[in-house]
Amino acid sequence: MIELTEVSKAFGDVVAILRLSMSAKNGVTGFLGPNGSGKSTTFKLIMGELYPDDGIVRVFDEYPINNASLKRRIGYVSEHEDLYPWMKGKQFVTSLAKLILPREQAETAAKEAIKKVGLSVKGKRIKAYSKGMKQRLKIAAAIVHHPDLLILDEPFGGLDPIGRRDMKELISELHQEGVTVLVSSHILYELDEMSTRMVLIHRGQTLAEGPPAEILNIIDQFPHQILFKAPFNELQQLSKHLIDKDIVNTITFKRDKIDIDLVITTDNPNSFYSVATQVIAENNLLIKHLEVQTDNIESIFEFLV
Amino acid sequence: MNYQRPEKEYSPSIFEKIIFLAEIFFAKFLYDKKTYILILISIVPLLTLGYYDISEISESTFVSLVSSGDNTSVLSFVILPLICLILGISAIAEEKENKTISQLLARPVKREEIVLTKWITIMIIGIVIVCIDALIIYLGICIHIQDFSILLEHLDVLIGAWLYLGLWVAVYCTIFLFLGIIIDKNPLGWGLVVAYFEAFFGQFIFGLAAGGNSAFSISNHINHVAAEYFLSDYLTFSITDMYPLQSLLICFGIIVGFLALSMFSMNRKDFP
Repeated sequence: MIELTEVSKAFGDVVAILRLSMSAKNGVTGFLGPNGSGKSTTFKLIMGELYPDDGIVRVFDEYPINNASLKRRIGYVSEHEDLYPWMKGKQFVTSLAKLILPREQAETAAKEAIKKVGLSVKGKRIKAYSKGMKQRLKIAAAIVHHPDLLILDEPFGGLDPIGRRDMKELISELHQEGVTVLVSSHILYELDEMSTRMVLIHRGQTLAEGPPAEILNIIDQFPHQILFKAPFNELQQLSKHLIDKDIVNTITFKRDKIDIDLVITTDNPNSFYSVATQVIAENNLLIKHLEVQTDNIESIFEFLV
Repeated sequence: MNYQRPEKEYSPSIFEKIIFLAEIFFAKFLYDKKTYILILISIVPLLTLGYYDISEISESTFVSLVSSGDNTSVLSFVILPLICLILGISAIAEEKENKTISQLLARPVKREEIVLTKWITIMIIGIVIVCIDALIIYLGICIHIQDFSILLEHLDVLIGAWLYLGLWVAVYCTIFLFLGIIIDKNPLGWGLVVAYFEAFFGQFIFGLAAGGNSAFSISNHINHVAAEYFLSDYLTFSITDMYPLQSLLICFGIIVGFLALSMFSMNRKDFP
């Protein structure tokens, strides 16, 4: 469906992607990489907004640049706020739908698409919309023609937790309807649950691609940082019991304003959690808060490279 | 969703696509405050009426206020390039800047169709604006001299001025449309440089060298055409060793050439 072979793209001296190869087939493909890793550039190449300097981009076995018939099969949500602020929501979706659907069908399709994304517009102009509403509207405009392939560039950006949950549900629903989805994010947990396939990209190159379980295994090799919050004497007790364990790499006490936190790094998070739980239970320690600090995707990628 | 995609893929004709795109672009102009400022700016030339002896004001005064034949018209020397610059440059450059070009490129529309529709839209909007501007000036003169009879007696002046200003819009908006496509950073600033560089070198420097009106100025060709075909009774203008028809062909060539260049550039352009 989507095939990129040895694709390179530079903007002046800045190399955005370098000999990148990847593919996306049916299902939901999560495109994971830190900011500036080349995700949006890759999507723009797939959408035919950019010419590759080198390599081949094929979508549905066709070249995407200036390919009007191909666009009939694709819906695209860019990372930008690319809306006409003077328009009303329904007007926006209908106007763009007319370029794909018969005029008499465009309005009905626009209403349906707006309803599907759970947007209540009530005649407001787009400039008055919240970030979440704008995001939903962009998706409505992208799915109004019932595309075979939906490309979503950072669709979770700026959404509140409920908005994120709704977005995930919408993507899963579209997947159930047979739409192939390519979705990017720089946050791992946004993608791992809903993706049927994941692609890791960093510094314009594909690091790995495959089923989420495989990708998560690779990511799990990264030394995880786990932060504990508790009264200082409890943290001291915890550190004393964990310091001689093989699965613990480092133990650090860190000052956070008036509190002191305990930060432990481990290569094996799963074993660590069972050991730590056992130590806490056996010694009756009062742990107030536990937080995994390795959702900083950039550091994971630096490690993998 | 309730609707089903038609079995045979629906594909709007190029004419329909142009209509649908134009609906979007026209809506923008109607909503944009700039459009109304460009109309109201036509009041500026009327301010110069105070310098005229009221008894000498006639339909010829109107011609001198709108045409740059003697390089004194505020409208054609200052306001008109500004109107063309804003309309032409912003046509594609604003879509690039606001990233809305991405929405258009994601639809089954060819890049050339976007350029063509933008061109048609700015032609219509530009011509409507300058026609209203000319009408405001004409009515302003009538009000100033408190005589509306010249409006009806010399309607040919108004129509001639509309054609003259329309040609200005067609030529300059097409050039600026091209600049808006190829220049990514500060296209408006560069457009301003080009507009006044052309006026300064084309009209004054080359004019001095030629010992008359230079053939290297686009506005000279427009004036040449207008003096022959649109305002022949009111405007005297010629270019050394050149027939008006040649000037008309040059204007036509600029429009067609820059439109073709715009389409070609748009087709080769990256939209990061």
